[in-house]
Amino acid sequence: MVLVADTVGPSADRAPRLVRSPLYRYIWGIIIIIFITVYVVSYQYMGSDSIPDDYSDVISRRDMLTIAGVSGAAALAGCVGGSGSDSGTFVNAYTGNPADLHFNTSAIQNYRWPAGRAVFAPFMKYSFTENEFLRGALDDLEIDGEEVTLTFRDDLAWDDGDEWTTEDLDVQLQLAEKSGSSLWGYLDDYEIVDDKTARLLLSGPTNPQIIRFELTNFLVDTKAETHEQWLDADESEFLRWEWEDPVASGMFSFVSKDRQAFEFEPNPEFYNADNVDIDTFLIDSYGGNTAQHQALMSGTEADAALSLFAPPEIVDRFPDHVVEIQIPAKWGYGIVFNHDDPHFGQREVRQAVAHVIDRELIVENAGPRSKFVTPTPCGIAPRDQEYWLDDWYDDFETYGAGSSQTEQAAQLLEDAGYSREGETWEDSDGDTIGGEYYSPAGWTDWTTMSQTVVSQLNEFGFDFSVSTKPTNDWFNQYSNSNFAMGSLYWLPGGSRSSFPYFPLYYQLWEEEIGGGHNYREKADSEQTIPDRDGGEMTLTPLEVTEEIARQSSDEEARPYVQQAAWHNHIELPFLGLVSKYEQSWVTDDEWTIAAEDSPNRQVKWPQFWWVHEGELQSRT
Amino acid sequence: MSTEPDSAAEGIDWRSESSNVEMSRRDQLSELYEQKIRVPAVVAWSDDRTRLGILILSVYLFMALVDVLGLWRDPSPNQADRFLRPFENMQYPLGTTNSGVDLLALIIDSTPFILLMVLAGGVWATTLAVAVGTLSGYKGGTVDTVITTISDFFMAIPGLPLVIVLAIALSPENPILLGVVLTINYWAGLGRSIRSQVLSIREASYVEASRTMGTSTPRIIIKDVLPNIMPYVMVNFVLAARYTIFAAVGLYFIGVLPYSGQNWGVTLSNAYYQGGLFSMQALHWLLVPIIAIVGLAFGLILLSQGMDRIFNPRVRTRLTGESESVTEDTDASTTEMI
Repeated sequence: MVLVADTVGPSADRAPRLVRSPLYRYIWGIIIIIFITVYVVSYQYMGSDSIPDDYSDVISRRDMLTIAGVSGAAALAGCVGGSGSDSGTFVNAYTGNPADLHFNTSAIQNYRWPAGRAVFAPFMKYSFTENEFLRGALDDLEIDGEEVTLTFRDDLAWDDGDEWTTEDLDVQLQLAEKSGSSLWGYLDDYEIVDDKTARLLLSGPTNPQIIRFELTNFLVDTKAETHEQWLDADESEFLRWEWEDPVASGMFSFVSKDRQAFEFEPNPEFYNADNVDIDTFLIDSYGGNTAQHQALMSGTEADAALSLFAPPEIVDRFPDHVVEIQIPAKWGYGIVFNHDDPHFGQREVRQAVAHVIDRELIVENAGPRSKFVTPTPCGIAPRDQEYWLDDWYDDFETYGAGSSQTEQAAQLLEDAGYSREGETWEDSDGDTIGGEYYSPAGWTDWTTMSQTVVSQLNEFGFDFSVSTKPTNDWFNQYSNSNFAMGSLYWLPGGSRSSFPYFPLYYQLWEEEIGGGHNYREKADSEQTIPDRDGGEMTLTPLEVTEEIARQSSDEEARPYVQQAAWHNHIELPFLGLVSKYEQSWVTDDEWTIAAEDSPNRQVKWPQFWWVHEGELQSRT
Repeated sequence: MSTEPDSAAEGIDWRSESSNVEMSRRDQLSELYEQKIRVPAVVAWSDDRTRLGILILSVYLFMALVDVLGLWRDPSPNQADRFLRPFENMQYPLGTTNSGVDLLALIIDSTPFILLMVLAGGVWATTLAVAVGTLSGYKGGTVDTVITTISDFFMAIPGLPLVIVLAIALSPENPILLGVVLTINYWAGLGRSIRSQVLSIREASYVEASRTMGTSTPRIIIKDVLPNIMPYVMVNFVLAARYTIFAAVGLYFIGVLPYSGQNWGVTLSNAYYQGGLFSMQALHWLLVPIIAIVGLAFGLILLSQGMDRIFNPRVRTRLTGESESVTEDTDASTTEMI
C-alpha cells in the first residue's frame, strides 16, 4: 500500500502547480466561448447584408479568378490577391474538382455535365415553360412513321475550324450503340443522307415524343477525327477514356482547368457566336452546398449556381439580385410497396396508406419553397396530369392532398379484415401493420419527409419506425425485396419524365431496383379494377402502358395514358406524394436574364441555354 | 501459490488491517462501503472540477432516465409550431425544428443510445488496451514481440477510414456494437503507452519482492501493476469515450451510419443543411445538439480529472480533504500523468 503511494507521490510533488481550479474559471470560459460565438455570427450577418462595402478592401474571389484567368496563372487562384475588372467574367459556382474532370460525355466516371454543356452544342432542348422542344444544333427534325430525319445547321462547326459533317454523327451513333445509349432501344439502323442530314430507322411504331426526349440527351460532342479510334476498341476502354482537350462545338472553347476552376472563352466558330457576350466563363469549384450558399449570400463572389438546393431560411439571406429559377425536376419523394408483403400486397391497405398521409404537411415540413404535392398519385408527373388526363382528371381519387382521411382509411382496412385493437390495427392473426420504413441517410429533406409520413401512419395505428441507411444499403433493401414499404422516388426524373410512358413504366417494372417491389408479375397479368362509372374494367397494365410508347401523337396516346393512370391510382404500385423543382441561381445585377414568360426561362440549364440564345449578356 | 485463497479480497480490501475472522457481515459491508464508496466519493467531491463533471453527467443520466421511463414526449414532426425559439414557449423549452419537432425531445430521445455507445466504446478500448499493455509489458519476450507487432499493425491502419469502411460493411444499429466499431483500433496506441509504463513499474522493488515471494503473474498485475496505471487508464477511458461521441457524430453527420429516430449527429446535420449556419431562425437547431455533445465531452473530461484523485492512494489516505495541500498535490499528479 505504502509502496503504491510512493510511486505516485514523487511525481505529484515535483510538478509545478500552475493554476488553481475554482468553479468560476469554467464559468468564465463558457462566457468567453459564448461571446466569441455571438461575435462571429453577428459579423457573418453584417458582412453579407447590412454593410456590403465591407468587402471593398478585400479582394473578392471573382476578382482573383479574373486576374488569375487572364494571366493564365489560374493555378494560383484561391491563394493570391490582386485587383481588376469583373466585367466580362461569369462565375458559376459548382462542386467538384475540375482537375479530375474531363469531357468524354459517355464516360462512367469524372464527367460532369456543366463542363460539357459549356463546350458542346445540344441537339435540342426541352422548355418546361412552354412544354415544347427548342432546337439547338438541329435545324430540323422530321418524324414520319418509322423514319426520323435529322437535319443539322449548315453553320455547325468545330472550334478548330473544321466543319461538322454527318461523318461525325456516324461515329457518334456507332459509339452510342456501343455504349448502350437508350436511343438504340428504339432504333434498328440509321443512314447518312448528305453532309448535314441523317435518317434514323425505328424498330417499330414509336411515339415521336419519345424520340424527341431521347434526342435532348445528345450533344455535338463527338468528332470523327478524335473519336474514331474508339470504334474498334473495347466498350469499357471507351467508357474509361478521359478526354482532356475537347474540340468545342458550342458557345465556349476550353482554355484550361485546375483544382479551382474550369476556364472557357467564347468560341468564334459557334453558330450563335453573336449571342455570346461573356469574355471568360468560369465553372468554379466550391466545397459543397454550404460554400455555394455563402458565395451567393455575399452577392459578389458568384454570378450563378448550378442546380443548388437552398432551404427557405437560406434563400431569405440572398441579396435581391440573386434570382431563383425553378425547373420541375419530374422527380420526387414517394413510397414503394412490397407487393408480396402480406399487408401491402393488398390494394385496400395501400389505399388506406394513401388516405392517411397528408401530403401538404410533408411539403410544409421539408421545403415549401421548392416542393409541391401531386394532385393525385397516378404515376404521372404532377404538372402534366391535367393535360394528359383531360376529361378523366376530375374523376380521379385524390386521396386527400391536404388532409389525413382517416375515416376512409379505417373503412378500407375494416373491409380488408383488419380491426382496431386499442391504438393499433391488427389483422385476423393479431399481427400489426408495420416494421422498418427505410430512408436514405444524408438526404436531409427525405429524412424529414420520412419522419412526417411515419408519424402520420403511426398516429393512425400502424407500427413503423424510420430506419435511415446509407444510400447503398437503402437501395439494396429494395433490390432484395427486404422491406414492407419504404421511401423511394416515384418519378424517374429528367425531362423525359414529362412523357407519361416513362414514369408509368418505371412504376410497373422498376429497373433500378430490379423489380424488387414484386409487381412485375402483376403488371403483366390481367387485372380487374373499378372503372370511372362504378362498373369494372379489365386490363393488362403493362400492355396498356407499352401502347403509349407506340402511338404517333399525344391524342392517340391519351386514351392509353388515361387507362394506365387510372389503373395506377387504384392499384398504387407506388404511392406518389411530392415532386420538386430544381433550383438554379443567377444574378441580374450585371447580367441580363430571360424574362419570366420567355420559352428559354425554364430550360436545363439556364446558365448555358440563355447564353446560347443571347438571353444572358453583360448589362454594361 | 495459486492455492492461496483470494476469498478475503471479495469482501475486504487485502490491505485492510482488520482480520476477517473477527468481522461480522455488517462490519464487512460497512468496511466495503467506506473503502469503495464513501472514500472515493468524498475525495472526488472535494474537487470543484469533479463536482461539476459529476453534476453534468448526472444531467445526462437524468435525461436518459427520463427517456427510459417515458416522462417526456417522443419527438415527432408537427408536434409543435415550426421554428419555435428556445424559451419562446415553455412547453418546448429548447425550441423546435423546421418540421415542428421538439428539440428537447430529440436530445432526450437519443441520450440512452449515446450513453450506451460511449460506455461501450470506452470500456472496449481501455479494457483491451490494459489487457494487451500490461501483458506485453510485464511478460516481455515473445509475448511482447507478438502483441507489439499486432498493435503496430493496428496503429498503422488509419482510424477514421477504417471505421467508415466497417460502418458501411456492418451497418451497426446497436449502440454497443457501434461503440466497439468506432474505437476498433483505439486500443493499439493506448496499449502501447500502457506497456511502456508497465515496463518501468515491473522493475520496481515491490514488484520484484512479489515475484521473489512467488506470487502469480495475474495477481502481481492486478495488485501491484494495475493500481499504478489506473489513473492513466481512467483518464484514457474518458478520452476514448469522448472520441466515440465525436466519431459517431461525425459519421452520422456525413451519413454513413444507419439510424432510427434522430440522434445528436443527425440533428446537427439536418440543422446544418437547413441553414442553421446562416439563419438566426434556425441557429438554435444547430446549437442545441452542439451543446449536448460538448457538454457530455466536457463532463467526461472533468470526471477524468477527478478519477485521478480517486485512484491516487496518497490522496485517499489523507482523505478528509480539509487540507488545501491535498488538492494541490492531485492537480499536479494528473497533469503529470496526462
